[in-house]
Amino acid sequence: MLVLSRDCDTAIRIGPNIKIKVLSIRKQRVKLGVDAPSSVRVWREEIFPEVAGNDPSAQPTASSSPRQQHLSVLVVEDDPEHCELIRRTLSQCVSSTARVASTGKLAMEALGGPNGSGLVEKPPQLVLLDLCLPDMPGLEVLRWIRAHDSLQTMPVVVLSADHGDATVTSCIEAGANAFVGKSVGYREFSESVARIAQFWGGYCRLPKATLETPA
Amino acid sequence: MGQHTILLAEDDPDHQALILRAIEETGIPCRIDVVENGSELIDYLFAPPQSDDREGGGTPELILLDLGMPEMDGFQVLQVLRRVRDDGRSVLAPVVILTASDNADHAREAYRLGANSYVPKPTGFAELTEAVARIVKYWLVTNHGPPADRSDPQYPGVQSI
Repeated sequence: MLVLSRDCDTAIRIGPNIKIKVLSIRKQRVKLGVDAPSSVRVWREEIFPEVAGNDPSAQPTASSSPRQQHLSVLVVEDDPEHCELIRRTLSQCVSSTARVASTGKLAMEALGGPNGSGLVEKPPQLVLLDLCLPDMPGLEVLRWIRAHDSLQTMPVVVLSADHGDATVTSCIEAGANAFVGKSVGYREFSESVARIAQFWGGYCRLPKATLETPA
Repeated sequence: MGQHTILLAEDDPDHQALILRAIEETGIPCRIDVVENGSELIDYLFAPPQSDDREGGGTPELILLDLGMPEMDGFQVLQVLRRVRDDGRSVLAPVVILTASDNADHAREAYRLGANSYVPKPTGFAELTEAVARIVKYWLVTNHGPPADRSDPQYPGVQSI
């Protein structure tokens, strides 16, 4: 049995270059990690000894790996086939709700936009934005989003068939969080969307959808 | 060609070791430069090298930034980077916060200051390895970063566009 003090944060050396390290003490559980060179085979990577405690309600959080969160996504895309592919891939990869806007104006409206009654209180957690829209450039939608305080922290991933340096640079300057090129092939495009979903819907922490209270 | 450069800002030597190993395990060829606090990171990006100890120089394609660091923390780094960006002096590599804090306010503040993404360090070793692998694969392979301008490698990051 391994006894650890509550604030133990040191590593226990168990051999040359091999250490057991306390990674966290939370909710009556101690998480240990083995820090060893890759030549050492680690048979058991995590040990969870019970820590003496009298809180019966403390139960291990059954967070799967990676932790899943429900992802609300606004998909701004006019091509119906791409829309369908994105929606399907998102739902296959993560628990998600996708809302589609097929024009720049509809995207703004979905966020409580220009003619709406004010910005939505709970903006989506992620926006997938196509640059080529029928009524206005996607870049304009991005600039409109970033011009609003309450939408500033909402991650925007640009999806575009045009991934030339100038386009990427202007999107990043306008405040895009990420830029993913649209592949020509159906399968490659679907894989890119899957990677987006797995990254943003997996380990990543998205800002809580809350409105800043104006000062 | 084919080798990526990652700048890791992390003060805890154990976390450094775990992250380096996790990146190595992805099999993606990377050079990883490690700095241990915010001011070293700013020096790395913007100060002309005093000597040749920083081989190659160059702009990193990805910055992994811890929030809790001595001297200058991750939030202060983000503030400096944002000022540089706002001045139009440079378009920087994506900054992914990789931190022990899973605090919603910290995440919101980091996004507000311009972090591209925020990943709380998972507590288990296997999960941390998996998370780092996902970060590296996503940002180096799937994502298109700003074009690397290597015309003046002496002054990485500070280029007029």
